[in-house]
Amino acid sequence: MANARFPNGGIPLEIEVVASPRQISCELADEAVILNLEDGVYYGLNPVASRVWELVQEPRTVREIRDSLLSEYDIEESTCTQDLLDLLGQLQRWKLIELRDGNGSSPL
Amino acid sequence: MDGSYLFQGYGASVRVDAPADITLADLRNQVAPELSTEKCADGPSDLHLTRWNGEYHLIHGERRYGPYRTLHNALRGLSNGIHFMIGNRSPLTFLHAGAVEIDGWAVVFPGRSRWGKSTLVSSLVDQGCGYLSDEYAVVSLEGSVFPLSKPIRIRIGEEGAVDVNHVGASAPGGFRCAAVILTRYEDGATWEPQPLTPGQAALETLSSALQSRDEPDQVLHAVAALVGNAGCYQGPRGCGEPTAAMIRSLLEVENLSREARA
Repeated sequence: MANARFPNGGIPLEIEVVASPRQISCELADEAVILNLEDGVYYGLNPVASRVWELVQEPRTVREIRDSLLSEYDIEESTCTQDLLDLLGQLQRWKLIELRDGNGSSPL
Repeated sequence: MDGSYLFQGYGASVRVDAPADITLADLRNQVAPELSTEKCADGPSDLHLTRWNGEYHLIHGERRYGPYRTLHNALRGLSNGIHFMIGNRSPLTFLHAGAVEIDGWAVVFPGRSRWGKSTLVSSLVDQGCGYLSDEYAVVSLEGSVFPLSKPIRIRIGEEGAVDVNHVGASAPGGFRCAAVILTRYEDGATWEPQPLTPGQAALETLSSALQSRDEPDQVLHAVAALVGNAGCYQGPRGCGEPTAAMIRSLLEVENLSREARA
């Protein structure tokens, strides 16, 4: 599903991503469980998605997250980028992350 | 004239008014022994059991439950209300779950009403397991399990039921959880439990927590601690399954794999 703000289908690599303050989460072995405090829905993340979740606890650009994953996992860059964008799109639809423009201050 | 009673335990209390024909012993017989029960001075009550036209009604705020045609059923309704309110007010997490103690460890069976938790727990206790809970397992933030050992009500057919009393197992710091097993009775099923990851088990178990809406942070961390070091399994079961021997075998496999991981 294309992002409404980024109709060409991807979140730009220079956009900053950070976990929403309206959630709480818990690590479980190498997984994570997240509760969206707005709607009371719980979500589960697999180990790789949990690593992304760990990274977005601090504001980071999509490119920084992608590069971290490339250094940690044996994966093609194009596959990594697409999988990451898919995941971030899902997390945004679940309202678990916020996207910020270049100066890091304006939620998109 | 009504009597006033105070129920306390696990950091919570509930005040009850009940008709004069109900005694302190009647109430104690229906409430988990982990809760203290005593008469108290008149005052605003949380639950009011009243009787008119030969029937009992339970009143909580503007809600009315019943009518109950027998004293026994009225006491059961009151007991359910007391445990529910204690659970909602406690700083510990109350899970809709059966729980037994095996070899010093807790085994927890989260599940909804009519999943057959009571029948399973009663069967396991008859086979020598310690009784912890047939309705609410009490879980600390560290994931330890404490008993709430009220009489087990076993349904017989659509209408009938029988109460069974078991002495609850206890340990000062609670019991560490060895296994979380999501299982419901299905006619003709064979128990072949499939492993769940801790994350999957947590998601399934969170929906069983009483205080998910009011204390989500507490519940999330308690459930995470509960499942974090436990073996987690899911699968239907048939009549008489799983037995205590089956669960012991499961725990032995779990211990071996835990040792292998270490």
